Amino acid sequence: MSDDLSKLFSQLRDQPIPQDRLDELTARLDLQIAEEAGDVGMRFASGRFRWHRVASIAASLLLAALISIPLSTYETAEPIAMHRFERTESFEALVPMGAVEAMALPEVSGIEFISSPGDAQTLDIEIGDARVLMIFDESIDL
Amino acid sequence: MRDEQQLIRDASAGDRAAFDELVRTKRERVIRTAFQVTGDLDDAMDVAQGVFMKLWRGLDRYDTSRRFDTWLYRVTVNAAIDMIRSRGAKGTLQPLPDEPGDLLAEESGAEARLDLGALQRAFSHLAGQLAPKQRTAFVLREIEGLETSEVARVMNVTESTVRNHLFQARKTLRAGIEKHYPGLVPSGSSGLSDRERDDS
Repeated sequence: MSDDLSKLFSQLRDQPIPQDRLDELTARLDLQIAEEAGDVGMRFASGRFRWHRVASIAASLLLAALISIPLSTYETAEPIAMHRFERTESFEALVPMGAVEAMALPEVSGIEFISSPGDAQTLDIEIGDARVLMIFDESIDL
Repeated sequence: MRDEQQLIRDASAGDRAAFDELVRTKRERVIRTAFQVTGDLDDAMDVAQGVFMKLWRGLDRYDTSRRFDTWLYRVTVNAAIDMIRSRGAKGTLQPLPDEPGDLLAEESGAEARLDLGALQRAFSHLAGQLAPKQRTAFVLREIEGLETSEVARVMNVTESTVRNHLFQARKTLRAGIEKHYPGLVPSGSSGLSDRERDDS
């Protein structure tokens, strides 16, 4: 037995690994290398490659790309709030809004509520370039 | 018979026979190193498999101007340390084999089996108290017999860091031996060895 720590544990260098574990490692490597080589090469070679899966993934990516085009256009369009503000100004220039004192109400994007002190209610809806103006007044007899 | 550099070059070129021969040459050292660092032979087998598969997949990227064994030791100890850390996080540290014969080849003599088996159990028990890098430095330096400078290259740290890891590891192991395995080291032999003096 060694008389110091270093010499003592250096003896473990001579400890052999059992042959069956060495053989096991070689067998495991053989198997894994064969599996990895077979994953792509063997499928192509044997015609078992799953083309329908590749086609499905490609179609999904293409669809996602097509959808993203109008979305990205929409996102970079003129801000809705600013657009509506300009339209509202021109609308007020045309309509004598003095008779209708607008009250501040929460705005939902593209939809504007204008409340009058009387019974009439105006609903101004703007979607893209389209604008719908609705006036609700019980006194209007159509 | 091809020399090691030729084997590496041929294996890099996809020569499967060269790769197999390289594995046969290095497998025992890789398993032993991984075992001493992880403390578990099954873990060591997994580490060794990962190391050689990395070798197979990445041989074309191996820089032949660098020493092959340094690269191999580095990949091995890094994988072994990762194994310890992942296993430790799960809290599933596996016990070591109790029987000396579990680790030793059949052809070993009875006396050698007894001594090495007892020594291995003692080391495995005591090394469990070391930090992974202290244990790695000790295994590479004392069991694998690498020079301190080589250990530093393998672990990608400075030599002074290696010396510090070794100092801490020896201190812990010596205290553990004196407490739990006094029969392994005769009394009065706690002075520094030549190797320890070199590292201090």
